[in-house]
Amino acid sequence: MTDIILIHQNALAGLDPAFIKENPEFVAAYSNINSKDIEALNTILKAVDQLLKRYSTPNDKIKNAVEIIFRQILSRYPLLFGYWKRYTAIEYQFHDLETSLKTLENATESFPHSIDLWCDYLRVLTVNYPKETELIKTKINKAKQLIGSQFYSHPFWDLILDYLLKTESDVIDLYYEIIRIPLHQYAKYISSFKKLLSERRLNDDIKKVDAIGKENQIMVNQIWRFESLIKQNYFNLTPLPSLEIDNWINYLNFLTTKHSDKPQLIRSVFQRSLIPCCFVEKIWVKYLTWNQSINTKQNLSELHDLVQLYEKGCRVLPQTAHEFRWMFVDVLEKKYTSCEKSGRTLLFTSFCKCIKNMIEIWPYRQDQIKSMETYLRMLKISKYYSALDTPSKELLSQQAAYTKYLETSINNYISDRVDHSIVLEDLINDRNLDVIVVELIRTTWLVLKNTLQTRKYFNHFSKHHTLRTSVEFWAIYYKFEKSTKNFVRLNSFVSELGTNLLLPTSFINDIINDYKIFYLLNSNITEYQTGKVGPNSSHDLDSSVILDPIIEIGFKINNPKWTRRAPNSGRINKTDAYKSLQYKENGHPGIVSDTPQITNTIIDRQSKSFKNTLPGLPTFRNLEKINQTGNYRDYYSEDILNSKQ
Amino acid sequence: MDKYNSIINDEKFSKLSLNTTTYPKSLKHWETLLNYLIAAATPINKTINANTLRLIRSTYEAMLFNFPFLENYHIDFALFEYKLGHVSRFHKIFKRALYIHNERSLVLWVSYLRICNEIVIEPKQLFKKYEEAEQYIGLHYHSGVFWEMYLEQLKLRCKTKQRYFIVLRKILEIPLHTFSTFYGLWINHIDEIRDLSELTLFINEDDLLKKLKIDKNYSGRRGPYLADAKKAIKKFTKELYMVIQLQVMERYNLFESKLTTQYYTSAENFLPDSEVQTWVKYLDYTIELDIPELCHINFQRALTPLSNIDIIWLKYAYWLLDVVKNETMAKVVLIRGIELSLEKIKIVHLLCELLTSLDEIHTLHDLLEDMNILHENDIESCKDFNLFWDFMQFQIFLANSATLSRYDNKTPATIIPEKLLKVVQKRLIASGKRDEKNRMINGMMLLQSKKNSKSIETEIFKYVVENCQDDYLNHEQFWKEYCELILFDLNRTLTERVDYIIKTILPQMPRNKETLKAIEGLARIYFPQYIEQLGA
Repeated sequence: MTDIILIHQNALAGLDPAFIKENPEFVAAYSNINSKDIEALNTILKAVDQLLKRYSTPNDKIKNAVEIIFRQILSRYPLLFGYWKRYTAIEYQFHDLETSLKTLENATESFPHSIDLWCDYLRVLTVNYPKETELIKTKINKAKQLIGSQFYSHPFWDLILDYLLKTESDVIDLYYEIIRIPLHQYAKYISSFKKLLSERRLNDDIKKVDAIGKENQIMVNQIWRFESLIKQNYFNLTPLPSLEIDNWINYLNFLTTKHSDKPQLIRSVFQRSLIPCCFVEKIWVKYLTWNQSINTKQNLSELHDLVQLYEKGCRVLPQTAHEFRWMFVDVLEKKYTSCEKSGRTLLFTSFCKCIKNMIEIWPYRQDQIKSMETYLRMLKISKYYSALDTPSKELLSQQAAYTKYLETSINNYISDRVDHSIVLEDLINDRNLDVIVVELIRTTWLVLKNTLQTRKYFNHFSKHHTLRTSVEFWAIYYKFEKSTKNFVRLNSFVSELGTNLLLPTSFINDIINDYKIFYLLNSNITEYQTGKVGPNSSHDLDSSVILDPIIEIGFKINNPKWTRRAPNSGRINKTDAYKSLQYKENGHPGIVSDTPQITNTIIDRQSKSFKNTLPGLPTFRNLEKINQTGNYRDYYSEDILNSKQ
Repeated sequence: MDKYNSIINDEKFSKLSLNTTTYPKSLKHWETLLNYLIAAATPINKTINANTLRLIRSTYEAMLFNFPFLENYHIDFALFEYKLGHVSRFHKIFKRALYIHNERSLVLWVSYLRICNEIVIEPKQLFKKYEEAEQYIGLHYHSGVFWEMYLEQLKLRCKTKQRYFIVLRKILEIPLHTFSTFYGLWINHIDEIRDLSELTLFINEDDLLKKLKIDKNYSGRRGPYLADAKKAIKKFTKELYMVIQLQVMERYNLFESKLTTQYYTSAENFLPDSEVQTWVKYLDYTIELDIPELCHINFQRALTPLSNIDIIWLKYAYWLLDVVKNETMAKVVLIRGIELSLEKIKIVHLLCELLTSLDEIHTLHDLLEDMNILHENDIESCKDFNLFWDFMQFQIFLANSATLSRYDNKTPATIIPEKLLKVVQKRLIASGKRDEKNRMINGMMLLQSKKNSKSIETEIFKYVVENCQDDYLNHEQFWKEYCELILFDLNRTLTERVDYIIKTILPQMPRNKETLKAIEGLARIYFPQYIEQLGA
């Protein structure tokens, strides 16, 4: 929540009007801020520099504004380490060492895999606060975990060695640790270690070091194939060349298949790759898949870490990343059923958050419907759980409560009285409403077995505009009426398809094909023939024509708008037929032309019928348009582009 | 030895005739046989041996029975009889040929009328034939030949000129391939006008006076007045010409120029798909123009080369049902289609539907019986699933219709009549395509009602589980449907249903990725709260 407030905050709000007047470049740079453009961000940085040059002792208002700007940028992009450095320097200038150290500490938390930031932090810490040995030790250990295995982590190790030497601690164990890590400068440590050992005359150890060194050399050579191809190892807003991404993926594939015994190293490479590739879904998916494959234990803190990692991925990845988000939801669902009670709250909360996010970012995709389905499933598992030995009565009341909950939420949504504190109501929108309605109906019909109520629901909800076009809703309606074998209702439903009920053609085709079989298998000739001449018979010509379920219904296949034509005359309105687009495009779809015609044509008359009097003068329509070229109809702009406006 | 005996004793004849009986649907053999016979019987004149004549006749008849759309052989046959002086046979053969072609064959009519011009002396009788032909083939794109003949006869045989000009005036409005010929005639006739009184040959008096303001009894200087009148007539002719030219061009460019074959082709020489597509588009175009006679003639034209496939037959029948609303004619077309098309299933299906709609339940019954006989009373093992499945559906419908009156729905125990059930069972357990079995299972599921879930389970699902002879049970659909059958059986509570699925059905199911995934998918929708108890 604080993030959102921060992002929408106006950093310049507290400044004096006079100041704003005097610094137009700064104001312009801030108002042109575009979080997707690195240039715009750099402009602000420059403007801040200029500002601080002009005001060497800025007042609190200016300080506050500059701090807000940095915090805004860095909360959005914590991986911009240069900004962190600049921010630290400014904080030092504005306040004191302690504040700047705090800033650096924040930096190492927000961007924990940066060698640069950790080195800066540890340097400041060890130089200025040498007495805080406990703190230094914890921080060093933490840094080791986070960045110690990185290929270019030698500055960090140098710093640590330096510190330990200064504090006169023993470094032999540390050296042993270092020389096992495949580092870019691995040789340096081997030689200095050997030097140290020979000073202490520990010849056996030298041999051991040699052996380790050789092994490590092989490893370094192997990974150098990939490391040498990495051109950009820092984060930037401009997209990474695909060659770079491919290299990372190859690198990771190599490690996970050939060196699966080095999880520390693999993790570290994953973490490094996600700095430049933090928008690359493939790598996130890979990371989490690998991570789950090595963590099979089910303790709460690991679960917590896993969820956090996923949540981070969801936060960072662009909205187009579906796979990763669905992977997360799947994991949550699977873990939920298999984990201890204590973890369930964590999982369910995270699940709700994730679903909410998915529904929000995918307003027009099938995904959001799937999200709602998943949510309902989880809801049922978590809040309305039952086992096979649950007594029937209890189960029924539990399911009745479930339907009640669904119904209330739906009705509140429909009547626009949404209570956002109730998760389900908060999640409903026009696109996923049908999922909940269908769930409500399904439970009422199949679990509570309340046919009367089910029909009431159908009557009630079929009037709602979003449900009228819902495939799911009508599919279950069709299924329901089939189960009751109510041919009158079924016939009228099938007849309305495509004319009154606008649903996808493929769906209509499926229904009709199915219904034709259903009808033959379940009906009989008497039923059929009486239905044909019944009150809503084929001779009725009003809008709600009931079609004959054996022959006429078939005309709707691939032509859902088909309606029965008036008998005898062929077309319903023959005289105006030439005005229809279909007629004007006849023979050349897409090109509309007003072809000249003879309006009193005699070709359908037998010559004998004229007796001995000659036909009259021919009359024409559109004769003046004879030389007109046809109009090309651009369906793309008409239907697609215009409909978006 | 007379000629007849020498023919039938010839080894070549036995070989050729044997070929036709072995491959009756191969046109090539028939042609060779016929050519051989004609050559052997030459000279063909009235002295022809009676037995030889009978042999040739029966050969023609048999050939045309197998290939009814061979227009040229119908003509050949008729001309053969004509040569021998059998005029009434000649007429009969043409009449029969025309009947087979729904009276709509340009080639037949033109050949027929060409001879009739010579042998029919009474003009009224002859023109009756022409009028009939006009009705059926007058709008044919290539009917220029016919119209020319018609005009010539009118010129020759009529005392007054009116009929000639009425016919010519009608032709002007028909988009014909040779339309300009007739405009040429018309313009010449205009030029030949010598007197105002002749103007009524071009336009009726009423319009002449009211619309063109030309008085044929004009009393002033008639020379310049006539010249003006000719101009007025030429003017509307020109307008007419432009409109018709456009129509002809459109038809020619879009369709006619792309049609390569206008005659019957036997199944051995299938036409390319492009030809079919052109016809389909042409017919759509024609239907949209909404001139019924034009539709009829074009359908018949399309059928002649494409009678071996079902597309045109079905299209014709659908048009008759949808637009013309002539169910009887649709029935005729479909029956003819069943005879001629090599792809029969869809035609049979539509015919069955049509018979039901016409309440001709007995004909439907007979048709199904015939189909069964065609498959040697063993339609359940018919290779073509669609044919079998259509057969079953209509059989069940018939059975429903029959039992209704007698038992009035009092026999809930049986799902479908025992005999049919056995057929379904047999086909379900035999090794066969999965998709076909899925469709059958799905069909059986459609029969589920409040009372019969148990018997569907026993007769279908349990039966298949126990007797299945191929790997059908390793696939998802069967198990999905089985579970759904239970899920939709509202005689039990949800727990009972789920319990039954988990404890009774699942243990019988072969557990593989596919089946497990399907069951899980089902569970996710219907009973997610039990999902972990699936043990999947």
